[in-house]
Amino acid sequence: MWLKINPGSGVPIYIQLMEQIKHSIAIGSIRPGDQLPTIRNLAHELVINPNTVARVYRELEFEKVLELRHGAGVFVADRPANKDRSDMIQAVQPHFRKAVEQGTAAGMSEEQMRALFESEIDRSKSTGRKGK
Amino acid sequence: METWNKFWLESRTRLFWISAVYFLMAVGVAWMILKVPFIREPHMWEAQQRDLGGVQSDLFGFWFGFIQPFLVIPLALTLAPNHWTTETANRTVHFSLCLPVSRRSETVARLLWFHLWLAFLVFYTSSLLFGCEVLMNYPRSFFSHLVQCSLNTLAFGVITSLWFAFSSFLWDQSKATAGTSLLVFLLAVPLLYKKESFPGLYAVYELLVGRQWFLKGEFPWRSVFLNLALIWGFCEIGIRRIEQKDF
Amino acid sequence: MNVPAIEFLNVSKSFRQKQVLDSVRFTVPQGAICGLLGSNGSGKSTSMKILLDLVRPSEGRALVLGMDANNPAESLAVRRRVACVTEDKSFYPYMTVQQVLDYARKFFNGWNTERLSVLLKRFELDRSCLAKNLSKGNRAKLALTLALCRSPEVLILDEPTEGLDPLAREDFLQELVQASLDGVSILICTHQLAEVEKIIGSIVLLEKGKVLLHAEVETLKEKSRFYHLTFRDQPPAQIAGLPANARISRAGRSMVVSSVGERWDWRKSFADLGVEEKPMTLQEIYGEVLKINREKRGGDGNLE
Repeated sequence: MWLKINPGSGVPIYIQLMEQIKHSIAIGSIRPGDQLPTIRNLAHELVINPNTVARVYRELEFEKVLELRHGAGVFVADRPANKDRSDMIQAVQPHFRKAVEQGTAAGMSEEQMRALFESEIDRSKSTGRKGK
Repeated sequence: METWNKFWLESRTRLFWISAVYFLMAVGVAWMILKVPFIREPHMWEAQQRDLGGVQSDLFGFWFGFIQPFLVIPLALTLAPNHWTTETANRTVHFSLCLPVSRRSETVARLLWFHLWLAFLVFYTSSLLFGCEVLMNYPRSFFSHLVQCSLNTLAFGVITSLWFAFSSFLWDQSKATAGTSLLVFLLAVPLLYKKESFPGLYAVYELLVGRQWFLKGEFPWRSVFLNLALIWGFCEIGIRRIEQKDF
Repeated sequence: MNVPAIEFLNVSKSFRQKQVLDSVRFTVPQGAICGLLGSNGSGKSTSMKILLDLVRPSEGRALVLGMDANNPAESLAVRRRVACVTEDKSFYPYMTVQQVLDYARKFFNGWNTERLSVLLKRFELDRSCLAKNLSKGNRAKLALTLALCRSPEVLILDEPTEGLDPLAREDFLQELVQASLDGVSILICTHQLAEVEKIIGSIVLLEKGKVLLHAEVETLKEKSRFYHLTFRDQPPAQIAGLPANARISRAGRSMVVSSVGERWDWRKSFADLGVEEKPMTLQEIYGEVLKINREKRGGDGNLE
């Protein structure tokens, strides 16, 4: 997992860290059950306020992305095999909404949008990529 | 007491050289005493036998009344005991003040340090004089020397404390020196007049150096108390000013 | 009882009729890292000096770990538990580095010899070098070493990285992170925002002796935005519903609204416009707060 903070970007550091950790998990560079650096080590490595690291870990634990095991450390949470459907829908719905809005704005009809969507599903099946 | 070490490191070279220079000056005076005829001849100063056990020659008067003040007072004025002004110039004053030591205790330590050194200078150069008196077999009294050295030290201490008080307000060492010198000079004017009437009667220095001891052998209690009171007063003024000052 | 590390309670200070601090009020909780920002003459250094009893306030009180920083008895106790790096960073010219260390050490019980060796090695300080011969950078390093080795509970730093090369700055920040992990509360006074941006948790912004802003950095960044609006015709002269700390700048048919510390719900007024939102860096927030304050001066120039 390679984390890099851009302090001058305007995006709060804790948000950058959270996104990067989630991204690392999403692309598989860290897997469920892997241990993350301690707050101390990560603060030293990135040279950031330890309270920021603590906050990130806390928030990710709340979101059930990480697991804080007392005495052992911080670990990537084991995702349940059958993921909570509503979580999944909540995560994806905004993207769908945006696509529909853009299609409407471009002047597409309902049938045209449906056809486009189905062709995308077919394309994703054929390249073997699965949504995470 | 950690600050004593700081003072020692700061001033040891300077103290060494000044002590050496003064020693040489004292040697010069001693040589003059031993070799120059008119100084060599002992004259009795209003020759009186005193209960204290000896008369004093005018050599004694010459040394304590003239030579020593002449040598020591300018030194005291230029080497001044307000180390805060030096530290301000060196920009170390914030470092010193941020340490957990009170301004009062460090200032008092510095004043003590300075005055002990001043006393050392007075006593050890005077010991040369005493040595000359022994060699020349002049009438002499060890006790008189001791008392007179102490009185002179106290008198010089009054002047340096005055300087210290001035410098705590003016903060510029040269201004403080100028101010003190002016005052010292003005106060010396009555010395030019006869002692029996105004303004000679009120010559402060006569009182400070304990003239009645010198002339009559009476222990100069008034002088001692006055000197101590003035030293304490001027130092206290200066210390309080330093305690309240914004750095 | 969790006493704040530092508390300014309506502190004012005047020097010869000139008001240097005006009712300064802010708190630094224990364990936090706080940045005190402001231009030259804003009162930052005076605030730090008040905490160290170098300067006494004209009004109000400054507390460190619950103790009055300017009370003669308590200020000694404060200085035993607090370490500082002052602007001057000069040491007694007649002492060597080792002698300075030995001198300072005698004042503190909790002197950490291990940390001292680590730091001396890390900063590559020559113990036998006379203090007057130290370069600016090395003096800064020595100042920091002295501050860290006495195991303080609070660190007060005034422009601590001035004179340090980039590598030394990195080392210095690492040491601050370590200090924070050890529970030390830190107040840093600096112009160099970019450097300390990563580690400070909250900021206090001073301008002409007044506190303009006191906020958690991350929350501030989340809520501060530039909004770029492009109109078909001339932009309106007035805009209703703007946040309190907002500033408008216009250029032709465009308008940029900057809002610090509060999100602007532009959809209420401009739902049909294309509005671009961009986050603000800390540097930009600083700049905007100063500009807003200057525009507002004449009325109450304080932002909360």
